[in-house]
Amino acid sequence: MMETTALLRVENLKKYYPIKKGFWKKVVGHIKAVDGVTFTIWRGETLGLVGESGCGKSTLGKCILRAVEPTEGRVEFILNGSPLEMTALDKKSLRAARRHMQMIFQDPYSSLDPRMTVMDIISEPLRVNKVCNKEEIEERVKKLVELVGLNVNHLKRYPHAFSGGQRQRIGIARALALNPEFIVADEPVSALDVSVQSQILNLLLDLQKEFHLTYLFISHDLGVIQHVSDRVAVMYVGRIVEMAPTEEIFFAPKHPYTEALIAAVPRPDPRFRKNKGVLQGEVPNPAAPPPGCYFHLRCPYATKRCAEETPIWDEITPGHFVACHYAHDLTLRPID
Amino acid sequence: MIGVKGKLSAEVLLEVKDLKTYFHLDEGVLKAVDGANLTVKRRKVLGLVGESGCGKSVAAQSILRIVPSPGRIVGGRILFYRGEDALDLATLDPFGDEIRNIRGREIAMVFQEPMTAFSPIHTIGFQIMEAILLHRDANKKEAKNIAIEMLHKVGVPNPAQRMNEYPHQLSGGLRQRAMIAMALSCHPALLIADEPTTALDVTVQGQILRLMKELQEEFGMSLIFITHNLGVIAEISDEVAVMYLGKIVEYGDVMEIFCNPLHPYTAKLLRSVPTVGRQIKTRLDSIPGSVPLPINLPPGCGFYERCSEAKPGLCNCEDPPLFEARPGHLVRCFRVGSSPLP
Repeated sequence: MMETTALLRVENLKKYYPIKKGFWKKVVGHIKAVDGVTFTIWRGETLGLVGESGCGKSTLGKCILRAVEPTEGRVEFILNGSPLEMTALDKKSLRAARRHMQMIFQDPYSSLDPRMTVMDIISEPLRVNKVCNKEEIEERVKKLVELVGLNVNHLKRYPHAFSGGQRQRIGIARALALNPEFIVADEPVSALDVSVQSQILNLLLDLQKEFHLTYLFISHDLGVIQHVSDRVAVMYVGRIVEMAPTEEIFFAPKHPYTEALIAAVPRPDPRFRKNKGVLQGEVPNPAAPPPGCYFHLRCPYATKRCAEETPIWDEITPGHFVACHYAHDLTLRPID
Repeated sequence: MIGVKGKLSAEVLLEVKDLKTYFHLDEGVLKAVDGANLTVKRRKVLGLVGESGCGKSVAAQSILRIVPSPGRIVGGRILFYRGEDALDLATLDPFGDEIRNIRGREIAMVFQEPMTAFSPIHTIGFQIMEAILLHRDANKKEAKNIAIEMLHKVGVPNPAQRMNEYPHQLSGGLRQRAMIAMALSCHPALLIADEPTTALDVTVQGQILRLMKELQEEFGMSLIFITHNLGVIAEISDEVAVMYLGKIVEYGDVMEIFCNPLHPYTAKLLRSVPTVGRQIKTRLDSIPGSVPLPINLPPGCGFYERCSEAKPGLCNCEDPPLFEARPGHLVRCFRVGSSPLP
């Protein structure tokens, strides 16, 4: 079902934020928000990016669109068969390239301008990019609004008149306005109520089918990730520790952190109550991560080697990447 | 104090009967809690689940009488059984001595965001000791020892050193542990935890849930655990109450609620949550519309507009009473055909 042409190649992407101290703003260290990440996104798929707060998943999403300037590394976007080096573009060509990639934000309350009507919000990308004239804009906006399940008669209203779920629909319509190929959805349902969450997830899945969209879907919720993703990348302190097709991540995890993460999800079924061990400790500070494997302090399988040597990013079976010294030796517990 | 002889008092710690907490606003009357019934059993965990705005937090605030203005309890009873007597918390003066003695000592609370629940200008130790000095017969030195011991108990490393630190110096997980230490420092009979793990990461959430369950069993206290997360509810609760628009729509044993949900809202909600272990990339069941604001609601069942099994002419005319579908399993829906509770 998945086409195997690449849409996006990310190579050794890094984003370091300097920590400045004192009167002279001397740089005393770096927060390694994204610390050397390499992966490919295939055309038409959903790559789920999961991790705990502060692991750098949002920064990674923004670096890909160059909403945040990466410190190092390459992002290659394959447009109409020819590669486009995102990191080398100047302002003008970047704006042209951005037509093809859009973002959906987490908080539908702060990502919409309270002083713009729904019409203005959704038509803004069309106006900025001068893709059509005035009459066409109105037609297009009406179509978009219907597409995301909003009422056409509400176009003159302001965002405050809408509920969280409806606002998220406005944000989705805005993202779709320019017929993009690639959408970064950064926690699009985290701020919504449970009963509304599923409506938005269904909408995103329907739109993907209709317009052959490619998603980078960022979430901390493993249930949501498993539901929407074709492949999943698990991130920990700025690095991707495991990436594989969704079933393999959940039913054959190879990294101890993935195992711990899927074991920690409370499931809405009392028959699955956990008696297994809970992961100890907390996520290390990305400004001063431990040496070796970043996970070794919390890892139940860690050895001396893990504290000294950084594990390499290895494809252990076709399509299954892991960064763990013992990926071949460990037998980890899948979801039950 | 009202001296009601409670024959149930051996088993029941707190009984909320037909509680109504309204906010009188310019736009109308916001019925945050509108006739809620809850029973908290001794040494049991009651999970209170609902979406945002369903009134679950206001219900908890009503029990402690800390409902923010202009909210007011306008009806119902909150019976707190201690020994042979039952005290109606709803009749107490919210600023009086009596409720102040209960708050923090007999009923304690843990809040969602420990960063805002703690005072930022006092040390953790000072704040825990304050509660102990206020409610327990201890001098400063004893209070300090109790506080250190409590911090140790909830798994804060280096408790003696942490005592002198300020809330911002602690991570989210540690802050929540300190919050729990403070709440439990006076050995309350009832702990109310309002979304205590919502702001935390999954792996830390797992730690806190386990800690709370262990302490609840060790201290032999009752726990009201409020959350919107159905997974967390399934993990920790003995009994579950599902709340919608200020009313309890379903109440029962945790197994009953999750394996045999009878209210359409509960059933739909359970089917609409994406859960790990389910089939991927399938459409989820979803509930149309969203939770309305509880101002000037039409008569009838609050779920009528969103319910696929609603019967026009019945559900939109009359408010369904609580039916006892099975012993101990209460449902507020006409579909459950049996005699309503007296």
